[in-house]
Amino acid sequence: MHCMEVFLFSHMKIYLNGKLIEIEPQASLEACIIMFCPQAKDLVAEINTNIVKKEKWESTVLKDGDIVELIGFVGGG
Amino acid sequence: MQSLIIDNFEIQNRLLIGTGKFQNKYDVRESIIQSGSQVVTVAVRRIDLERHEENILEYIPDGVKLMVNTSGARNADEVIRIARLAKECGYGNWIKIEVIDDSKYLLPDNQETIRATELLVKEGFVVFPYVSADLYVARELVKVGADTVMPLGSCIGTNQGLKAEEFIQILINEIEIPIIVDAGIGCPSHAAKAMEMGADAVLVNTAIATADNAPNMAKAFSKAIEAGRLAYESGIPDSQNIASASSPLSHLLS
Repeated sequence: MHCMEVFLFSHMKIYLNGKLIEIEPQASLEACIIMFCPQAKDLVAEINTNIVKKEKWESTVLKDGDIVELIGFVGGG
Repeated sequence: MQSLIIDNFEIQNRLLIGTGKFQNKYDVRESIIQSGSQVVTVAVRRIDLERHEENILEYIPDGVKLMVNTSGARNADEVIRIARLAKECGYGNWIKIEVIDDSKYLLPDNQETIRATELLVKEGFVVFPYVSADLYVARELVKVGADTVMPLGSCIGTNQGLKAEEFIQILINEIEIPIIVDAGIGCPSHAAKAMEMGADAVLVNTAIATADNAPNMAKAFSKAIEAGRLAYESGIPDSQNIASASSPLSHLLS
């Protein structure tokens, strides 16, 4: 993941869709999504299995060890 | 022909299409358009951050009702989680419950499905539970507030048709909410048969998605389902063991 290098000197680590990534301390959920999932539309975000409504992405500050899941729609029967 | 009304949504085309397994997403769109299907299923999954995947929703024509399935759920709690995620995205509250913890036959866990149905109904979802064709299970689903019952024709993706025919017929006869036959429907004649039996709708995925020409196959299914429904509403005569002449049997001039 390209952005890991950018935040090499930060200390906060979160799990994003199953992968351990480093991210700027005090980063918001919205900043995280813009950085790692910029093209995705129609996605839902969960932190530690709790859904975070889209209007709260900006004000939601990530904490060290958070488990973030970004979920989208795929084909299915 | 009568419409099927679910949650105040009028369904004139009784073919429901699943959007998995298609070779490309243009075929998904064309299959929906060519068949005139009004209800399609999609699934939800963790987004792959390594590669940009096309958003299936961009290929669903406007006005088509989305039903999110809970594939991947192994118990009722996971169903609830998936349903809430789907609802949060703002695409309505129609949920097809799939609880499967058996990777060989992909048979539904009926007990967990009943439990999930009860919980989702309380949260205001419109619930389409995928279950075995079993009268007691169906009665429980009615009791807890399911909007439909979706009995499997045969195992998912097998194209074996109506292996559960006799048991589906019992549900059609005894259950007052809509019966939508789901899974295993392999060709249009299977779907027509289900409709002639009195099923309210049929959900097809694999047989359309894996056809050489998916949009044409979708159209073929739509025609078969319309024909089957029209026949059912017209009153199909009973079969007889003794011949009955269609033309006068008297001699030409006597």
